[in-house]
Amino acid sequence: MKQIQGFYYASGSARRIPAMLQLDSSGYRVTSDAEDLISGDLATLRFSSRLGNIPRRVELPDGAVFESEDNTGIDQALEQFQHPDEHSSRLHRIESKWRWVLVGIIVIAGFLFSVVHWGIPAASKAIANSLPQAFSERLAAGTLSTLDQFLLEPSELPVKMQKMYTRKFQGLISQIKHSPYRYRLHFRHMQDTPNAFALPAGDIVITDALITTADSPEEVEAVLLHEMGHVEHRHSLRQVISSSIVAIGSAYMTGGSTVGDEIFAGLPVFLVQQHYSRNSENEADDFAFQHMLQLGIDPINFATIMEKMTGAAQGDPSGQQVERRLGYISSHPLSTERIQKAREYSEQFRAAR
Amino acid sequence: MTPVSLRFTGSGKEYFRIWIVNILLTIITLGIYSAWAKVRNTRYFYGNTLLDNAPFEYHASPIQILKGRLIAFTVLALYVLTASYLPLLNALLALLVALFVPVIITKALHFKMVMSSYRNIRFGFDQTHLGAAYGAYFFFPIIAFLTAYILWPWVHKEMSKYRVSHLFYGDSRFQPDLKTGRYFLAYFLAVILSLLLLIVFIGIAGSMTGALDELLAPDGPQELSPAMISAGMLLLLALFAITVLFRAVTGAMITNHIYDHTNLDETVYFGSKLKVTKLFWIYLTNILGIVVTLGLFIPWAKVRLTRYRVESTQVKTKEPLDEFTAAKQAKAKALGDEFGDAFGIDIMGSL
Repeated sequence: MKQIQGFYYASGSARRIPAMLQLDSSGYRVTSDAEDLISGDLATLRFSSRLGNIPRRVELPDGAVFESEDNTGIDQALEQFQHPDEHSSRLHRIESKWRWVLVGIIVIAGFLFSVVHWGIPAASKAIANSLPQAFSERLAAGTLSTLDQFLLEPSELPVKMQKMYTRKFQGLISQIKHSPYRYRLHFRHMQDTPNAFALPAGDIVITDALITTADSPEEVEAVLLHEMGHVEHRHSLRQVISSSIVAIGSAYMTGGSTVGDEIFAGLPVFLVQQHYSRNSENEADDFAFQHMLQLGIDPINFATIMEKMTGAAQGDPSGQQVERRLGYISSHPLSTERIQKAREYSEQFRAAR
Repeated sequence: MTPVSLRFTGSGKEYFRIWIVNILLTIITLGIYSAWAKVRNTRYFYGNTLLDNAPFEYHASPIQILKGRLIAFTVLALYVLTASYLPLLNALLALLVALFVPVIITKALHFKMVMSSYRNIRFGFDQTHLGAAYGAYFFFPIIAFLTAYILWPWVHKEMSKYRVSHLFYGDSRFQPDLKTGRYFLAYFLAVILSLLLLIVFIGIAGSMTGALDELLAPDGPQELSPAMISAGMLLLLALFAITVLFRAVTGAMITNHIYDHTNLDETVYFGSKLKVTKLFWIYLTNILGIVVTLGLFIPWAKVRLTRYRVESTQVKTKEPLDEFTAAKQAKAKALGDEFGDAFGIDIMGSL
């Protein structure tokens, strides 16, 4: 027979009665001051699962409750008398071992790393590629007219020059095989900012300042190929998909937090997004380099235009220092690294000639 | 009146292991275990809160929570996925959720309370006064919006009143007597202190060779210098510190006021002695600890905050707590609670 000290509450009553629970192979009995309160069949008792050292709760069939801090005594009795709840300490045993905690930390860290590094990029790529082209177009619908309203002005370049670049652009498009995208080149004026960007449906916007910054049409072509890389890889669509996955996943994992860390919950999400953005830039760069090799354009043009756009050529050390410091929060990879890569491709290009 | 002891016996070390195993099993089961994890987390904090040496208990069944969670997160997924493609449907969903916020909060409170007990007596929440819920959580916030949020402290008071005045322990009712003035005072002090802190930060950042002026220039900085980045970081830190300070001031003052002016059936009286400085310190160091340890500090942070909150609360009673009796309970579903979690709706407010 096993004896457990604790408290007894009759059904629907808050009265806390010091009591003893006696268990043996056939039945149970609750007594207080040697007086019988209730007794019955052992199998009708329900034991709460063990958790840390919080008091155990034993539900009696009539709605009464026996409550005890003697977790160990209860575990021994459950095992000894083979009660159906004899495994109610299983989780507690795992939770008590630092060994399992270590396994936990390693698995969790590995899981998070794999999901962020491979899982989400692979999933969003697969989903983006399986969606029809209409999704990309829908994403961009109205974007250009909105930009025209608020940010961009009509190009001030001579029409002749625009026609020349449009012809070059057509030349690039014809080299990309089986492209489902309807590429269009748009010239715009945007203060004095040298810039170019692509919309998912295939619209590529290039600013006047970029063209005037460039010393040769090949430099502009390098930028255009980079933007086409974004379109071909469906980066906008992939970004929408990956940010949706991150948003839903992190809400599911952190739901109902009350520590005051909610303010910071957005930080890891932001860092992950910037990581994906840098990866996209690298992919678009690679697309540009490979097509430049095929088209017979020296990839050095990418390096030279990048240098002009970032001011890296002037050997501006503070600029690079800033870039390096911003490494993890930046949406673009270090421009020095991108320039270096272009130079490597250029050497490959010249060796092949 | 006799004071009743209230203490928290949980430990960060112990809870850390429970928390890690919860996450581990959630990952292994592809998220399904998260419902069981929620029950275990809640039980740990309830079971370690001892009033007159007796624990609080949590009774929700994981299966119930899982069902609610699946529905709530399907809606969240729909919401996130329609954001880029079907803006009209997305706006409709957002409107629908906003329309149902009072219902979600009521159902969530009902579920939380019915699943909570102390000394074998369940708590309860009267969910039949939806009109009051729509006032506090829908119409009054619109009024506050129309007054540029000047009336927000009054709305906050109405929200507290709704939450507390429909609360039951067994068949005994909680009776709050909240004063709108205290809420205005709390927000007023929070705004003043936040402004003071902001001025201090701007003073420090401004002394950094005008870097801040250039960074915040209307047409943007010409180029980023290390000094500007430091100034920018300092500004971000200031915004963060101000948010935390604001929460500490309003949280401490309002929670204290609610406890000080609430009784249970004119038998049990409550009090709360949260200090703004201590709460601010705990919030600040918790977040710092969590960032520095990449999240591993979360269990200690939770335990610290809970311990401080519990140990700042006082309970006094006119009669022994033995005399409370149970009430008939309506069935409760976890859906509202899970919706609250999924959409980040603040169910408990300043309590």
